[in-house]
Amino acid sequence: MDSDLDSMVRSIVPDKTVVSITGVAAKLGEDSREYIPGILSITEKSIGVFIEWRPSEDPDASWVMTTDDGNSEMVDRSPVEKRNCGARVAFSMDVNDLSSFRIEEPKRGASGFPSIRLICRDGSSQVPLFFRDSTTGEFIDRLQGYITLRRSHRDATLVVVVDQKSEALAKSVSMLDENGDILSRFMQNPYMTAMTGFSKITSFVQDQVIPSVLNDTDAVTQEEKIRLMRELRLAEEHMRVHSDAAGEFEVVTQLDLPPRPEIYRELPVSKELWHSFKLSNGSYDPLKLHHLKMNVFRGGLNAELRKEAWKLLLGYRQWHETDSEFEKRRTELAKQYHNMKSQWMAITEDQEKRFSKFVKRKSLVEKDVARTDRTVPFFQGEDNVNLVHLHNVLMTYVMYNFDLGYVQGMSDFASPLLFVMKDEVDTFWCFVGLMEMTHKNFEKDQAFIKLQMNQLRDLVMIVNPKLANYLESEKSDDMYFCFRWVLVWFKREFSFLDTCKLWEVLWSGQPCPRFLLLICVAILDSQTNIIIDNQFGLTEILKHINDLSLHLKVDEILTAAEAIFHQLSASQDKLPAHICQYLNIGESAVSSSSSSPSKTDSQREDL
Amino acid sequence: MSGTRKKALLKVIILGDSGVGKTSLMNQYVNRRFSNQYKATIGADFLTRDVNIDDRTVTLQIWDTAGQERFQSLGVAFYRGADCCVLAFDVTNAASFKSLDSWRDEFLIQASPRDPDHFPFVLLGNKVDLESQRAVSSKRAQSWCQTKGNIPYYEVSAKEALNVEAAFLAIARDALARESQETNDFPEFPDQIRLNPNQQNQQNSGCNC
Repeated sequence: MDSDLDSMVRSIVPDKTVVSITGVAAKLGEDSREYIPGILSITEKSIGVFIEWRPSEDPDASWVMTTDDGNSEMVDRSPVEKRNCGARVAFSMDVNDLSSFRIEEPKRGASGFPSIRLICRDGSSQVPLFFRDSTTGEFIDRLQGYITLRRSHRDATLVVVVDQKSEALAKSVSMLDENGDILSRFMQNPYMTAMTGFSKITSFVQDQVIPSVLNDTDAVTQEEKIRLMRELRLAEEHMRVHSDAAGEFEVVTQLDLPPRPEIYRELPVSKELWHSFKLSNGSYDPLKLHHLKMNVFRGGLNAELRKEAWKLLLGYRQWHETDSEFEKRRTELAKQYHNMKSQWMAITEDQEKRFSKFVKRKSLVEKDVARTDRTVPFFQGEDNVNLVHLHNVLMTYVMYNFDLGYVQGMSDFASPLLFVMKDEVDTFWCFVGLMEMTHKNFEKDQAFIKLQMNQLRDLVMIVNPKLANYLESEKSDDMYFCFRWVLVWFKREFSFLDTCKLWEVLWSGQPCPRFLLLICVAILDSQTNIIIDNQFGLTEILKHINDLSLHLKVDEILTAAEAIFHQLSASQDKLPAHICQYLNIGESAVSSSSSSPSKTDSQREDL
Repeated sequence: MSGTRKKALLKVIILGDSGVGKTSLMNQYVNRRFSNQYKATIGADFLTRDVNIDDRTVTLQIWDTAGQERFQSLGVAFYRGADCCVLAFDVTNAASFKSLDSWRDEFLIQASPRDPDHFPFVLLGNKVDLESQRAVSSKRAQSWCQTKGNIPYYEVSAKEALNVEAAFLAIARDALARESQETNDFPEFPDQIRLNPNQQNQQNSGCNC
C-alpha cells in the first residue's frame, strides 16, 4: 500500500530534465566501430537524479562507422536492428552510483571527438560516449551541481566523485590504525613488512591525510586536524626509529626499478621472412631458431602463416624435422587419432548406462561446444559442421587423457586451433601440444593456478607496490580476480583474432617463461589509478577486471609487459631470488633452448 | 533529494551444475534478455538490480559462478556474507538434480553461515519450457525441498522469462525478512516481518488524515 502511495507521489512530481545534449554517440561495443547517435541527459526524478543515455528517435539519424583510415562512413542496418542495438546500449543510472569517469580528448591535430566513460560504484563501466556536436563541458558542469568532482592527481584523464567528506575522514583515521599495525609487524619481520608497509604509509600520507587535512577544511574541525597531524608525526617518528634499529633502511625502503624503456611492436612475421629461416629440406636452421622466435614474439604472425607456424610453435611438428619426416609421422599420428576417436564413438547408449564417468565428460563437452565462440562466423548457425569437429577433437582428447578428461575452459583453447587448422587431426595434435603447456591449469587440486596467483602477487609487489598494498588492504591479494586471465590465457578478454596474436606471442616462449604473468601485471598496472581512486573493494575490483573484457588493446598490453620485463631484467641483482626464478633471469637462469652454448649470449643480446 | 539514503544490499549466490542455466537466469532477471550463446562461466561475476520491496529499495547482487566443481574452491571469498543461496538444476537433466545435495553442502562448508540450519536456500528448476523432455517431476523436487527444511521451490524458464521475476522477488523478500530478523535486538518477537504491515498501516492512515 505504501508503495502505491509512493508511486502516486512519483507520478505527481514530474521528472525534470536538467540538461539534454544531442549528438552524443555511444560506441556499440569496445571492439565495435559503430557509433549510435543519441541523447545524453541529466534528469531529476522523485527518486533521485539520473544520468541517462538513449538512442536518438530520429530514424534517419546517421549511424557512423570509422574505417581503418580514420574516416567515417554510414552503417547499413535495418531500422529494427538499430532499435535493438540502441535499446541494448541505453542506460539510466543514479548519480549516486557514479564513482568516476574517464574523459579523453582527441590528440592534438588528430580528428575525433571527446569521450566520456562512466564508471559505477560496483566496478562496472558504461560504454564510452562520444560528444560529436559539443564539448563535454556542459555535462560536467551540470553534474557538479549534484556531486563533487576532482581530477585524479595521478591520472589527468580520470575524474573521481569525491565521497561524503565525513566518510573520507573516517577512512583516514581507520587507515592510521591499520598502519599502526604495520609498525608492530615491522618489529617482527622488517624486510617483508617494509616491502608492503613503507609505500603504504607514504601513499597513505599523500593520498589520504594531506588532502583531507588541506582540502576538506570545512568538514574537519581544527581539533581533528591537530590530532591527525600529531598522529601522523608520531607514526613517522616511530617508523624512523624502527628502521634505524633494524639497520636495513636502505635495503628496505624501495626497490627502485629503472624507468620502463620505450618498446615498439613490429609487423607480423610475413611468409617470406618465415621461409627465410627454413632449410631446403623443410627443417629450420637451429642456429637461427631463437631469432625466428623473437620475431614471432615482437610482431606475431601473418594470418596466412598460422596454419604452418602453429604446428611448430605448439610442438606438433619438430623444428628439426624435414618435410618428409613430418609427413611420415603425421600419417602415423592421424592413424592414432582415428583409433582414439573410434574408441569413444563405439560406446553404445546401453554401455553409457554403466559408464557414468564417460557420460559426465561427454555431456560437459556437448554443453560447452554448443556455447563456444558462437558469435564468430566460423562457428555461427545451427548445424554448423565445425561444431561437430570441435566436439570430436575434445571427445578424442578425453580418450587421450582420460585422467584429466574434459574440464571447462578447454573448448576455449581448442576453438582457435580448429579455426586455423580447419582439419580435425591437425587440430587435435596441436591441442595436445597446447595442453602440454596448460594442462596443469585444469588439474583437480588447482594447485598450479594458486601457484601462479602467488607468483603474480609477488610480481605486482615488485613492479607496483602501491597497488599490491591496496589489494592487500582490500583482501584481494589472492588475485582471484585474475583467475579467468590465467586459466584460459586471456581468451575471454580479447577478440578472437587478438587472442590468436596474443597466444602465438606467448608460444614463442620469449623473452622469458611466465610472460603471461607479466601481461597480467601490465594490465593491472594500467588500472592502478582507477582501482585506488575509486576505492574499489573486493567485489568492485573483480567486477572492474571482468568488465575489462574486450576493452583491452593487445599491442599496448604486450608493449607494456615487455617493458616491465626489461625493467626487471635490468635490476635482476636486486630482485628476490624467487622472482628471478619465475622469470628465468639473473644467475639462476638456465638457457631454455638446449643446443649451442653461444645461444645464451645471443639471447641476452636480443633481450 | 534523498541522495544519501542507504540502500540495502542483498547478496545472492547461484550454484548448480554446468549448463543448468545459471548465467541465463541471472541475465533474464537483470537484463530481461535470453541468449543460448552465453559462454561457460569462468571464475565468478555478478550483476545487480534494484527492486522495491514494500517501502524499501533493495539492491540484489546476484553472483554467477562456474558450474564445474574443481573451480569452486578458489572463489570462496565471494560466498562470504551471502544472504541467500539459489540452487539451480535443469528439469530435463536428472544428474543436475542429483548434484543438489553436494552443492548445498559445499556452500555451507565454504560460506560457513552462522546458522547453517536456517540459512535461506531457494531451489529453481529451470528449462520448464522443455516440458516434453522433463526428467525431474515437480513433485520429486518439492519433496527434496521438504527434506531440507522446506526450502521454497520455483519452476522457471530463463528462456521464456517464466516465473523468473517472481522467484527472484521472493528470494529478495525472504533474504530481507531474515536480515531484519537478524538485526533484531529482541529475539522474543520471532516474526519480525509481521511488524512491517502494521507500521505501513499507521503511516497510511497518517497520510490519509
